[in-house]
Amino acid sequence: MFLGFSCLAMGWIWGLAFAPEDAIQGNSYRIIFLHVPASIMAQLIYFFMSICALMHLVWRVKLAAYLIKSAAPVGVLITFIALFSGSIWGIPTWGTWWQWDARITSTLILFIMYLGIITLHSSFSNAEKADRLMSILVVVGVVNIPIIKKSVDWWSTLHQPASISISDGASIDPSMLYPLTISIFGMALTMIALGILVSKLYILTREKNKKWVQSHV
Amino acid sequence: MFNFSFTDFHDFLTMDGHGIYVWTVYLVTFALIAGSFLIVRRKLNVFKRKLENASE
Amino acid sequence: MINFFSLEAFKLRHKLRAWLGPLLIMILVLIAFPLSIDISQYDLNKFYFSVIVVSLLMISFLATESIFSEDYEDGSLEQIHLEEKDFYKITLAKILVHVLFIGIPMALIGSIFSFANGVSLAEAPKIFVILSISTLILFNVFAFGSALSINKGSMLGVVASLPLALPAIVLLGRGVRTVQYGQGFFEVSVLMAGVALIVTALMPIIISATLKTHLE
Repeated sequence: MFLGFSCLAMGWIWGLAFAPEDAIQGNSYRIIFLHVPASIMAQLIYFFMSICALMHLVWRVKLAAYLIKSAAPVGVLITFIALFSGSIWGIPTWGTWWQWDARITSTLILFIMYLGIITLHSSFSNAEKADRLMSILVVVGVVNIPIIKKSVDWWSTLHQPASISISDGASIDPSMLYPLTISIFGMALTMIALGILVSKLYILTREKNKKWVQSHV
Repeated sequence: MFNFSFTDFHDFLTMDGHGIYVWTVYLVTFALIAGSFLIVRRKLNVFKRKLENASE
Repeated sequence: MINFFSLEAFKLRHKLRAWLGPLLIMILVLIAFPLSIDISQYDLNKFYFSVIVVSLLMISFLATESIFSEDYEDGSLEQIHLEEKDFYKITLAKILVHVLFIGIPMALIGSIFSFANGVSLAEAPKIFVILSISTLILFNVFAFGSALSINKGSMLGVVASLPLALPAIVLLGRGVRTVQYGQGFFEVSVLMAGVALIVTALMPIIISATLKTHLE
C-alpha cells in the first residue's frame, strides 16, 4: 500500500509539476497521469476477474470466487474514476463533457457490468450458487473487453488513440512517458492493496462461522 | 527533465485556466481512493471487534 | 432435437400472450413515438430508426423474459436434467422457436415501419434481414439473462444481460447506416450473420451451465 501510494504520488507530482505542457491540449492534458492508469486498471481488473471466474468454474476454487466478489467494487470505483476524469478532461479539450463515442460508451458499459455482477451476486441467498452464476456472467462479459480496446480503431471516434501500445510502443515524449508509467505502476499497486483489503474483509465476513477466522482474529 | 514547468506557484495552481479541471479530477480521485481505504479499514476493525466480543 | 423443437413450438403457439403480446407492444411503441412528439416528417426520417432499434432491444427482452421460468417452476427442467444431463438442445430449441414466432415477425414489423423513415420498397428487405439477424443475437443474449435471473424477477436479467447486448446494437446501427447510405450492406450483414451463428452455437452451452447451477 505504501509503495503504491508513493509511486502514485511520485508519478502525479512529476506529471503535474515537471512534465512539459502539451503543445495542442495545454495543461489540461495533465489529467492523463490519472485517466490512463485508471482506464487501464478498469480493464485489467475485469481481466483478472475473468481469469478467477474460469478458475472457479473449471477447478471450483472457492478463493477465486471470493476474489471476483472483492474485485468488483474496486472495479466500480476505478471505472468511475476513469469515466469522471475523462469527462472533465473533455470539457477544455473537446468542448463537451460527454460524447457518445465508442470507447467512452464501452467504458460506461463496463461500469454497468461491474454493477450488474455485484447486483447478481447479492440477489441470491445461496452464496455458492451466487458464486457460480457470477463467474458465468464474468466469463461471458469478457467479450466486451477487446471491443473496448479496439473500439477506437474500428469505429470513427472523437477519442484519441492509445498513448502507449504494446505492439507500436509509445506515441508520447519520454518526459511525459516516464511519469505516466510510474503513475500506471502506482495505480496498479494501490488497487492491488485496496483489493487485498476488500478481499480480507469479504473472506472474513463470509467465513465468520469457521474456526480459523475465530483463531485469526 | 526536472525543470518546474510553471513560472510560479500561482501559475501552477491556475495552469492557464485549466487548473480547475486538473485539480478537481485529482482531488476527487484522491478523496475517493483514500475514502475507500478508510471505509474498508473501518469495516474490518468493526468486524474484528464484533467477533472478539462474541468470542468473549 | 426435432422433438424439442416441435414441443416448444406447440407450447408457444398455445400461449397467445407470450408471442402476441410483445408484437403488439412493439407496434404500439412504434406508433406512440411519432404521436408523442411534434416534429416534421423530415426530422422523423433522421432518427426513427433509433426508435425501431431500441424497441427491438426492449421487446426482445420482454419476449424472452419467461423463456425458462415456467419450466423451472413446474419441474420440467429438472426432469430434462435427469433424462438428458444437459440443456443444450432444449435451450437451442426454445431460442429458435422464440425467434421464429416473435423475432422474425418483430423484424417484419420493424421493416414495415421503416417506411416512416423514408426507406424505399426495394430497401425494406435489407432492413428485414439485418433486423432478423439482430433478433437472433438479442434473443440468445436475453435468454442468458433470463436463465441467470430465473426466479428472481426480470429486472436482474436486464441488469446482467443488457450490457452484453449493446455491442449487438452498435452492429445493428452500423447495418442500418449501410442501408441508408447504400454502401457495404453485404459485408456488414455477413459479419452480423457470422456473429449470430457463433452466439447461437455458444450461448446454449452457457445457458445450459447456468440452468444446471440453479438446479444443483
